[in-house]
Amino acid sequence: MATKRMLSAALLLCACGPAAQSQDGPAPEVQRLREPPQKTTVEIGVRVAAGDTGVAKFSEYRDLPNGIFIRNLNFFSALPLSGYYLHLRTRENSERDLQSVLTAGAFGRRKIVISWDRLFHTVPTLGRNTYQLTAPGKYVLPGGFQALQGAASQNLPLKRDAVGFGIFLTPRESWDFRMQYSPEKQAGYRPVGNNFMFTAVELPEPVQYRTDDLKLSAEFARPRLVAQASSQTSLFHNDVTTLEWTGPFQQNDPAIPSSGRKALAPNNEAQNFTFAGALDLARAARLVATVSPGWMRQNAAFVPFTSNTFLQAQPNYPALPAASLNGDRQTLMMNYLLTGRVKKQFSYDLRYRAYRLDNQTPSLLFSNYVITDSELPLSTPAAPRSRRNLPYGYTRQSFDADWIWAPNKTSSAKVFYQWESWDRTFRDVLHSDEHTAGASWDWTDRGGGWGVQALLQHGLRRPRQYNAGSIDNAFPAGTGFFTLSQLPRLRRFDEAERSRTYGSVTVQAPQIRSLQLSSSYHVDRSFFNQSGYGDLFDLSDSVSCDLSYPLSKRVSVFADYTFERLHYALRDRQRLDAAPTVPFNDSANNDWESNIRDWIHTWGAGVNAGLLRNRLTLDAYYSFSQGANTTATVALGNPALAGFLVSSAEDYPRLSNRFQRLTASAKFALKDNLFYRIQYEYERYGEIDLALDRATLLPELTAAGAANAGFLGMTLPRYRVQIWSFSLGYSF
Amino acid sequence: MAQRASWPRLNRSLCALLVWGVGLTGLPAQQNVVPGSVVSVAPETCRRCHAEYYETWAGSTHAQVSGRLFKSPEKQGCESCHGSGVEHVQSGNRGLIRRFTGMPAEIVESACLQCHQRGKRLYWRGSAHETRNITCTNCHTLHKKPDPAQHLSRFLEKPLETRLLARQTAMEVCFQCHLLQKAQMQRSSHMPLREGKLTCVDCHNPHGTATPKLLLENSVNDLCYRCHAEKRGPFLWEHPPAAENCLNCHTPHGSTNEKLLTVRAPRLCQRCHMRGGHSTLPQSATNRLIYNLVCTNCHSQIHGSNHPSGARLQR
Repeated sequence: MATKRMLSAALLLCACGPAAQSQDGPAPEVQRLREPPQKTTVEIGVRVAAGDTGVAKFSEYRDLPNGIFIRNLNFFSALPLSGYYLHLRTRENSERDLQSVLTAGAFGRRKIVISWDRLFHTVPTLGRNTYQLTAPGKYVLPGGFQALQGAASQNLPLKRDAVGFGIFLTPRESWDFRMQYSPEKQAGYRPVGNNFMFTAVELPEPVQYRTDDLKLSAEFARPRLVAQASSQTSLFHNDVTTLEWTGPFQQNDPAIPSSGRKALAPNNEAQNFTFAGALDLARAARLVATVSPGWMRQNAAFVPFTSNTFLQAQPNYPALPAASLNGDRQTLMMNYLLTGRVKKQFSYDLRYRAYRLDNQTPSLLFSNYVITDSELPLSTPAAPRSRRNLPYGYTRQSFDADWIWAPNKTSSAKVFYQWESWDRTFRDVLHSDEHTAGASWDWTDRGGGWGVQALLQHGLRRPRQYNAGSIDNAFPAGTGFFTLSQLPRLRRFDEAERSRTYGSVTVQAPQIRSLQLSSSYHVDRSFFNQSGYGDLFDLSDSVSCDLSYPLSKRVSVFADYTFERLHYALRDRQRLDAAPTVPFNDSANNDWESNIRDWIHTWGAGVNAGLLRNRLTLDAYYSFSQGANTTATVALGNPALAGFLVSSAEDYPRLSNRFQRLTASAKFALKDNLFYRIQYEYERYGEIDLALDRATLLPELTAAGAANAGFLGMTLPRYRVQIWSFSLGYSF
Repeated sequence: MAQRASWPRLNRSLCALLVWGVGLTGLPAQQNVVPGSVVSVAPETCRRCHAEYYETWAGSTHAQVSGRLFKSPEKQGCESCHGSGVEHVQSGNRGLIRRFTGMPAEIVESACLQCHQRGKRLYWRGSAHETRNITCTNCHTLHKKPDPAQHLSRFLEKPLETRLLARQTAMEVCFQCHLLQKAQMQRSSHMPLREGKLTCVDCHNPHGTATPKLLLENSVNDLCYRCHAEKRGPFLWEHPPAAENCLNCHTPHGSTNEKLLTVRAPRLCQRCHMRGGHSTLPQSATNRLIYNLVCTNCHSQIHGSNHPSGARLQR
């Protein structure tokens, strides 16, 4: 114990500066009574995993190597009478996947927090290609596309390393200062699609990101007044800003260029300042105000239109209108809240919120826009290729009014009204209003734990005017003779007229003959009644139930079940652009409709038992989640009529996925401070998905001139894994 | 071309209101002394009868802060939460001390907000939870250890500071009421919550925020950019629904669709893209355009492209 305290003292001296100053507070004998317990728990074990541990889906967010691991380490120590402490927590720690937090400081006065969090994110795709990375972001294919088919598979890992460093100071009761700095690095690969028009090739995109976040804040608080100010800076840096690759299909189709280039995420920065204040007014009223201006900027240099050197050498190769974008989005968030009480039973909340994204990015005109790597833009009136980027922006405002009636100490009823408006730039709807009204009733028996919470609300969103042709702003010289304009009766779901009803009921019953029950029901229905095309409706409902029942004083069982159902419908029209020999075909006879339904069941059951005078703790939990999806599509037109096109309207095969998980552990206390734990985990995942099922057959090669595609060789994510572990824990 | 969202005059007025509010800092602070606490009772007195409660309090941060940071008498020891104990000690009458069981929400929270109406609790009053009759003791407890039998989800949780939670983990506290979100975590496409790398409070502040849905940042996108800064832009070619709200296409709590999509592609994209050509075909189940990454096989820069030829978000 003495060694431990010396170690603590040494660390605390480093963390907190001079510690041996006189401390305010209660008398030493009273402080001794109030000393926090010196406690350290360490649990170290051995783990063995068997089965399909190499499947990327299993290790999507984790790394579970076989061998020795630290399940849990919790070290807490405080210097007697000083108020200084040290706390180290780390969990499931091993070489590649760790999570640790070290906190040191003086209770209530100051502390330093250092954290290290490493997250493995393995993308559930297999890399199967013979591309060679010759320089950052540059792939060559020495073996030709044919070599892809025989290539070996490997996972594409992506690793995040996040370190956090924070200083929290409370020099006086009224003042708080904080500084938090957290650099994060991401490194690895993820699959990305690339193409030359209709030829697709999937590649592992190199990821070399670094993000530095710095947050500074200060707070002044008095009983009736709180004032906060903070600054948040985020800098994003990408080491690999372009991806270049050898064209794999050149040997099949000489018209396809020999290489491609993609611009990856550009470096960017964001800054936010937040000023907030709260003031208690007369009659139990309170005013809270927040103003938060900020910006997001990006000014990475543009890459040339194409990497095709033959095109670059042509005399009519166009020049870029600018060397970089100089992108600048200004944001401003405001929130004003007034709460108060009229009489003892009545209270109110009035809130105004606004978020403005003012896009100051220049709108550049690309008068000779190069679409593909295989040809330069034509300068004929039939196919003008002028293109302009549009700096989209919006302002979202809302006003909420709540009126709350609390007739007694257990229940309250609320009626509310919300107005929300959107003002957008360069979108189909420049202004829309939504009015929502609703009511809720909540009853809580704080003594017994009973509770009922019910909510019902209905909203109506109305766009002032819908302009389906707003996208034409991006084509200052027109879209060309052979291109259709937008469907006039299309209504995009995020802007369209909408009628939405939402309701929920939650019931918590803590004791019905010892049975504890919690259940809820949600319904959410959105109808887009004025949408001729696009989303027609969007429905979902769900029911959930949690049960817990004590079989005896030391044994309890519990179970849960949730069923969620989603249903979307959309209407579309198959439309063909014109070509020199093919006329437009834009007829209502080519309309089609699709209904997408999802069902998801989630079951869970478990037992918790404390046996042998609580020396043996048994714990088991099994969960099973099963999802299914159907997409049914029908043509609405008459196939007998001339010009009928919709030949591919068909139902997709039913898709499904299942996830099962069983965790069972037995913890046996050998002594008061010594225990061992045996744990067994079983996980099984299976998926049926037509998008992936067919992709396993690729890469495919077709005759010269036909569309080609080469994928990394995704396999259907299926795995079955068992994990055994034995660990020994000691508390001192 | 000169389209700019108009900024209403109302906002300027509200700015002025804020300045006025800040200007009121010179007001005298209300003397927040609990009536009857002229003579206070030391916690060690309470210990004589309530030893178990004393022990749980003494091991907590509350005990360590008491007397060190807070000097005022009403913020010392047991009385800081339970009110003056003088009459209770003298008479032994249980009715003369503030007991949290069965108390109205406003009384419970007024006890806690004496010290905690700052920091992350600035927006508690008027928040979604507060206006639904939820109070501090629904989620926090000082004297009771969480019941292992109520360990509902069996999810791992990242190491957090002890926050006197009523359940063993922060997620289980939320899942007491948010049963649907608990089930959504079990789905094939999910955030790393059940692996213990994220938890509810990484995105939400249950005590209230300035933004809807108790989000920690100023908007949904600002929140997502915290981990996905590469999608922040601004880009030369924007995808407006993505720049406006990530939730137009993604559902954050879990989905059976890849990449947390709300609807499976290609139907997700076909809800909006009806200009003509291949995007308007229903596409048969054997068509190459619905393999693998579906539309993003080609339009991979769906969150925005900075390539001069990337207007179609292909590169």
